[in-house]
Amino acid sequence: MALESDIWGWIDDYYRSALLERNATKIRLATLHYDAWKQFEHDPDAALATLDEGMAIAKKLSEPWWQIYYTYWRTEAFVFYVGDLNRGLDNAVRTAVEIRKPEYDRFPAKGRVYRVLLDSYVFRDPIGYEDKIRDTIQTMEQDIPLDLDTRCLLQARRSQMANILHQYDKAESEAQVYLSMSQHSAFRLMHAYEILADLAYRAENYDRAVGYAEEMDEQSRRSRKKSGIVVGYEIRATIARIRGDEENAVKFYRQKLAHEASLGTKRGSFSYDLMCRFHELAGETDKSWQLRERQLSEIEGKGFFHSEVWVRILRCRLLGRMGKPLNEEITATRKAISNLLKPDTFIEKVKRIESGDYTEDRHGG
Amino acid sequence: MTEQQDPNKHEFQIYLPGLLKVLAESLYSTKKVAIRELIQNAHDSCVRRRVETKQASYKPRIDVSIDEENNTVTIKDNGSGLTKEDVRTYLSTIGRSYTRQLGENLSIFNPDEASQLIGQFGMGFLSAFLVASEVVLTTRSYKEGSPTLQWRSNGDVHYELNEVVEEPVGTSVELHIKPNATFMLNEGILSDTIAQYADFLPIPVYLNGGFYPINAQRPPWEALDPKQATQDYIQRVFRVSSPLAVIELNDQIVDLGHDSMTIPLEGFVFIPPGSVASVQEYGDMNVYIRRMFICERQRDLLPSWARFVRGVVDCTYLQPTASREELHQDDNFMFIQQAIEEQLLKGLRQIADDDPTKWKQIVRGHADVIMGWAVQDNEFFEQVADIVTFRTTRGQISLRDYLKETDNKIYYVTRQMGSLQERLLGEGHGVPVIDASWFAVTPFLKKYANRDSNVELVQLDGESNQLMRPIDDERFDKIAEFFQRREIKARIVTFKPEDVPGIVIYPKDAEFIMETRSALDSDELPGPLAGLVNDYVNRLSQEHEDDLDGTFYINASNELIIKLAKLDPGTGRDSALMLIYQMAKLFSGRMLDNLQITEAFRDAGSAIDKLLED
Repeated sequence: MALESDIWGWIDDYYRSALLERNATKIRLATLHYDAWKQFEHDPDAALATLDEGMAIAKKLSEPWWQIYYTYWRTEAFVFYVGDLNRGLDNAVRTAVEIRKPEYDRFPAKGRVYRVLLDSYVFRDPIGYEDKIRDTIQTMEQDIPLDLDTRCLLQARRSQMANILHQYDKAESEAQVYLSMSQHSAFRLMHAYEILADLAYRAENYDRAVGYAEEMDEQSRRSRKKSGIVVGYEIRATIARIRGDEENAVKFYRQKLAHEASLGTKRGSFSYDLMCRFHELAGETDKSWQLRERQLSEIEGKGFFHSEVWVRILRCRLLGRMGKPLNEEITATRKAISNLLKPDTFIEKVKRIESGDYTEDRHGG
Repeated sequence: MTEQQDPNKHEFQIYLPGLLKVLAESLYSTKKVAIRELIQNAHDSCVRRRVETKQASYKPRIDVSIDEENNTVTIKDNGSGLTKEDVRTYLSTIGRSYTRQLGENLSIFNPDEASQLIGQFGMGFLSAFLVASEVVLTTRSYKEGSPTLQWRSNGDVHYELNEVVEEPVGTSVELHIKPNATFMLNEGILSDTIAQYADFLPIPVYLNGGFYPINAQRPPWEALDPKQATQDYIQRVFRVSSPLAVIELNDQIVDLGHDSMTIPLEGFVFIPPGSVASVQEYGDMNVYIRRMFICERQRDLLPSWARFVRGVVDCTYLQPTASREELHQDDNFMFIQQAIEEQLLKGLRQIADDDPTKWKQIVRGHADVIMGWAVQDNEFFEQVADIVTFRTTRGQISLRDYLKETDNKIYYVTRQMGSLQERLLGEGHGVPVIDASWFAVTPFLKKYANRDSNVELVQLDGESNQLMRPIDDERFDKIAEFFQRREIKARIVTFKPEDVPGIVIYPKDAEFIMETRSALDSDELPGPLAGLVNDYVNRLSQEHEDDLDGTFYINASNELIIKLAKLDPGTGRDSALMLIYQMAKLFSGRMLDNLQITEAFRDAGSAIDKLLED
């Protein structure tokens, strides 16, 4: 039976007692993570500063649970918003080791700490750590008290892992379960629709992809997060261009640009894949290349081994299609592949490129 | 097919008491908004009379009065008043707003007048029931021959409407205050509430028949002396007496990529004088829409780097939520954010160019926040790089002054002031050490070093051996051999202060690696998670494997060491060397467990014992 963790109950209780005490410092401690949450998307460094402040207050007030809670949020910031997986993973491991101590036995955010450690490996080398990731999800679901959001995210990872392992039907059904579990949160729904849109787009089921994009847009506005609005427009712009509807393609693209201006966080691979294809369809391969350059610069040397290999493979293929020399990029790709625990699939892909096959698998998926 | 003909179509029924309960408990966060809503209705009614009658002599006014004896508060205006039809169509139909309709009509031919109207939801009047058990509205329309009407409701499903003795044109709303809202009968509270919500409204509001209106009737930027009025306003509302700078907000053209739009902006932002303990203390705005106060401490309108800034904004493009206590974060909201950011940046750059002294004050007063921003913005970085000050072992110093003392080297520690050894080594070299525990300091220092190849960065925690100079001097070979034989990793170096004979330094991850290994050995981590942790720690250990027990740096400049180097191996010399080593180990502190501390004391004790025997 699933074990429940009442993380919000803990935060709420602390906040209420701080209010009763009229203790402004404690009130800040209980609310700063909300401020950071608002900052994540448009200014992750500022969010880190806010979380630092939370940690400093927790330390000052001798509140070890809160210290860990803010450390956990810093890890989230590194992994998902700042885009520095090396620091994220380091933080995640250290926090996971710390919470083994008896004083954290009843710490309600334990599940979150373990989940972000798991995520760090999902982003680092999902194929290399496939077994450990699968076992960890199972153990967490069975043995660790989890809050609803963490449970949802574990479900999301099932779908993402299935996608990475090319089990697309499974990925779709797991994502549908994720969607049904996510009704409590517009932000979660936005994420679930993004996963579904990604799957539908790569399966060339464009009607569904557009439907999911529209849902994403709505949930993104509800949750006051812009990234979903931007990706939603990117999906619609690219699909409009695939369908030859240039007027809408340009309209959606412009809307995406207007909203993208204030995003301070790194973009996801889906976003890059969409926009590279958007430009390539119009013969603007130079723009696609610039985007791949930017994408690589955001992840190179930051611990995203799997993503770096993927981006390099996509770059090789793009260079091939552009009729440009490939040797240097292939060498760099092979070097990046050497970081992976199970490199075979990617070595095969490189061999295909070397034989002159520059076509994408499922549109860059 | 009409509704009556279709048996499947039904009309919604509204249960007023239930709706009022929802309003009272969920929509509004404070009962005080009832006053705002009623004053706003009164204001719109006055605007309506001016627009519709076009009487040049018309002088609008709003009167609020308290009757403590009868527990009532009355809000009275000399506006347009309501006809019987108005009462039925607008007052008693939830969600239908006359103001909104008038605004829509006016927006085509009289956009300026339309922009003065505030109401739009047709729900505001209901908020009267937040504070009142009964509401009595008496009104007479300006329209010729209109009777004086009295509408009375206690929030039940029914209301009464009667003709009464003639009153002047206008509307009065008498609130019979509920027992849980008697604070409204307090003149001070009511006065503050009105001043908060209606300060900028152009129509005078009088309280209890006072001679002077209690609202300023215009925002400070429209005063005869806007500069002074703004300073007064900042002092009165924000309790800040001498802001370092005030930057006006004006209409702004925002680039949308494919197009542009003009955002109508009024207000100002200002920079408080000093830094504060919390980086979140500032960075908020008071928000007005068409001069009606909406909310204070709104944090999302300002860019996140601008946490040292506060301000006031009035923008008609902002869209309030139904409660009108918050803002919809729609596309316009984001364009307004962009407009404010652009004007703020422009204003700050102007200060930097025109008034360098003030600019220095700003940067120094808000160093922590500004540093975070400068890391992200190259242009801004150049403006602050040499001004911003850092916490060091010798107080706040700017990098320009710091480098004069350190021969172009920047020594910093990322843990708060580092360990004892690191501070000791830094000070031993006669250099102040920068506290880089604040998240933005290290990237700032790196950026600073990157732009000037003469500047070198030295991170003391983890790299403190950079402060030591290895020496190759056969005089110390015997000492090196002594420790080698005991499998103690030792290096002969020179470092300052020369009084210290030796120190033990561990790599920064050593402590964590040892703790984690111990946790893994004892199965303290859940199964598969332990596997992930183990993998990480193994990779980390590979970098430091031969260094985890620490390295003993022996100071060849120390007189005692020089003396010991001259002695032949023997009990006295050996004991002294062991004693120095154990002292250094104890001094390093954090890497020792109970057993090791006991062992260190035992060895030190035995060394002293042998020295005594000799």
